[in-house]
Amino acid sequence: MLMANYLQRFLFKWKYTILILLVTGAMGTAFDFQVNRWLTPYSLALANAIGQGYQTKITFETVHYHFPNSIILKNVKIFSPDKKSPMLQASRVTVGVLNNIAIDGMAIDLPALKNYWVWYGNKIYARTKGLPPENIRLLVSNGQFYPHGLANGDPIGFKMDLRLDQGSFSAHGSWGLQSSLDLWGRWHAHSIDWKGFIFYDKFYILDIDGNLNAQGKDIVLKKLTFSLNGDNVTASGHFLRQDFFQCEADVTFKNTRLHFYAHNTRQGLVFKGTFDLQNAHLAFKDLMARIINGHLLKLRIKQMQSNFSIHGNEYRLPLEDLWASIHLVNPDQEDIALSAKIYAGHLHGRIFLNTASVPWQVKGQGQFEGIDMAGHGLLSGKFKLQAPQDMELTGSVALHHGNFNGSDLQQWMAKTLQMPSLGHVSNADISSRFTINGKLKMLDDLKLNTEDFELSGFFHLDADDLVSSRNSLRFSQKLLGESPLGRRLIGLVSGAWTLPFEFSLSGDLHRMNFQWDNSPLKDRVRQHMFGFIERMIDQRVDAYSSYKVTIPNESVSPG
Amino acid sequence: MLYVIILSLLLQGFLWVTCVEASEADLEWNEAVGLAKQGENDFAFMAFRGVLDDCPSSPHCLAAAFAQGEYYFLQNNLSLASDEFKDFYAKYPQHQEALIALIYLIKIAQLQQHPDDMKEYRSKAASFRQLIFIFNDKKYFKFLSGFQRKHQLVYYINKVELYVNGQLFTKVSL
Repeated sequence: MLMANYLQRFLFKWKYTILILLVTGAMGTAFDFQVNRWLTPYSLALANAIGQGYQTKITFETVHYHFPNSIILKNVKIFSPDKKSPMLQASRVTVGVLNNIAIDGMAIDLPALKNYWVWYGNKIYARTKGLPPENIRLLVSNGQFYPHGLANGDPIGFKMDLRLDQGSFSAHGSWGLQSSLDLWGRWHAHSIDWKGFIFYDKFYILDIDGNLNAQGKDIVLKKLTFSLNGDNVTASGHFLRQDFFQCEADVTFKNTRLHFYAHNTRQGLVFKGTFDLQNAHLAFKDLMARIINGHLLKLRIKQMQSNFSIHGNEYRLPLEDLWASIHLVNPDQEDIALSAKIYAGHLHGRIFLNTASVPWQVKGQGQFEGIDMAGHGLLSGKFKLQAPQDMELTGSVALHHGNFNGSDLQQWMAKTLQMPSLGHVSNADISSRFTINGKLKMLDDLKLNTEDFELSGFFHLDADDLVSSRNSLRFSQKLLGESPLGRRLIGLVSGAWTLPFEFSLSGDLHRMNFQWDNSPLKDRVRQHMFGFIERMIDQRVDAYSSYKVTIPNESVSPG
Repeated sequence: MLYVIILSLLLQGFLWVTCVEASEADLEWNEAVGLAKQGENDFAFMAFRGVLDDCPSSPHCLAAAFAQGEYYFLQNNLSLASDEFKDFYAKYPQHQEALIALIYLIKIAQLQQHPDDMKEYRSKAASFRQLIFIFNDKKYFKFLSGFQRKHQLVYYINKVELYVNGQLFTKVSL
């Protein structure tokens, strides 16, 4: 009896349990069915509305409600504005009601996404800035991004975990084989503080400490400090979010200072500013930069004015349409290939920069051609430099219809030969090979032709500005007749203007010594002179070449 | 008439003083040179100093001042020799003897291994005098120093050589 009662109660209990389960299951299935039935059109409508609102198209293959608290979308695609190819896609997106979003199998077309963000980023930012809930977690696993677009090159794998939690945030991400990022911080009202570290290929950025204040469209980067491979970097700046992104910032790094202004354009960020390093000051305009494969920095600069000094000599170099590829061999060594327009000519070469210690070591070589010398000719040649120790510049110069007025050499010749016309030479053709090696400056195979004279020879200046020069000069009859000395010469030697006048120069650039070298002309003159007349002329010339008048205060200071 | 007498007396007095000074300077100079010839360099040095102190306007002052630097150089006291030759160069910049002093300074800087000083003096030597050679290819300048050493400068278009007692002392490229 007892047994019968027990069985009866037991079966009764199970019967109700099963019934409850069946009813619950039926209700759950009905709910699930109803939710899924309603969810698909709602999701499609929402996707269409968002797509229309932000000039994109959002598609998904299926959407399912997953009991009890998540919605799963499969094969989600967000298309670029041309609606032809997806810029973002994910094989599975799980949205939880507790603000958890998990994305699996994400693929990003980076150039397309960047392009989209340039145009619609501000709009998205404006719509969503009030929306972020206080707590949210975004988890991306098995992600891939295509740095050069979906159709170009291999993707780079990445994963990411982003958390926002009541005034604090943390972000952890990793990409490629050796790159990762860890940032964390807090925000309060309009102020954000963050710290963290980043490993990027061969670069390690540690001790990141930043603070910015964002009020309306104004973002002020109050401070940002970090160490880049052991070298401290400090930055501050001001950003403005209007229709386009704008910023102005100061960055100091390895005894260099960079001040720039940047704004966003359809092509990307465009910079202008100044860069001060060691003995150089660079002012650039319309600079655009992009990094390829993490180790090739490509720069395009429309205009750059560079002022620099080597061995105390100041140089000024205006460059246009400069293209530079900076191969970041390792963090302290940069291999730079550059090409630029200079004075309507072209310059191209390679520079190897070692920034491991101050002063930076610079090695470079290259060529320049077709450089317009103020409309009077073309300059072409090669350069080889090793700064700060050495600089070598070799090449050739060819000037046409040039005007030369009042140079030291001209003034000296005009005075010594008593030919005032030599002080102002016009319509001259000049050609020469040149070498600048440190402080040595050399002109070889120098040829200078004008209507009134032809000069050929060489002219060297040593490190102490001392001259060494040998030349052959042939005057026109007209120019020779201008000088009392020349008229005397014409009187002595018939057709004197047809014979070259050979001479050497030496000594101080501003007080050059002169010697009339042995030559057929000199022999012909001597045939007409007695020895005592030669000596008399030499004595008169000696009297003419006065001693230097030295002011005692400028002379060697005693003891 | 009285004025004429007074004026002539004053003039006579003035001439007498300069004559005395001139003769005193000559005497001191001759004494110093004599001592130098006897090899009494220390006493000769003091006597040359006496010429400078007692007769500052004497024509022998240039050689006496040069002898100061020459004495220290012969004593191998390069530091004091350098000071004296610098003084000499500052005092007689337009005399060719100043170029001889500069060449001594170059030699001293070379011995003391002071390349910056050598560079400075070489630069001064290069701009010391502008040389023009029309028919000859060298010029000469001779100077007998207080210590009776024959100095000869030989100028070329691109160098100056200094000979002392016929021996090449040093040459400077210009």
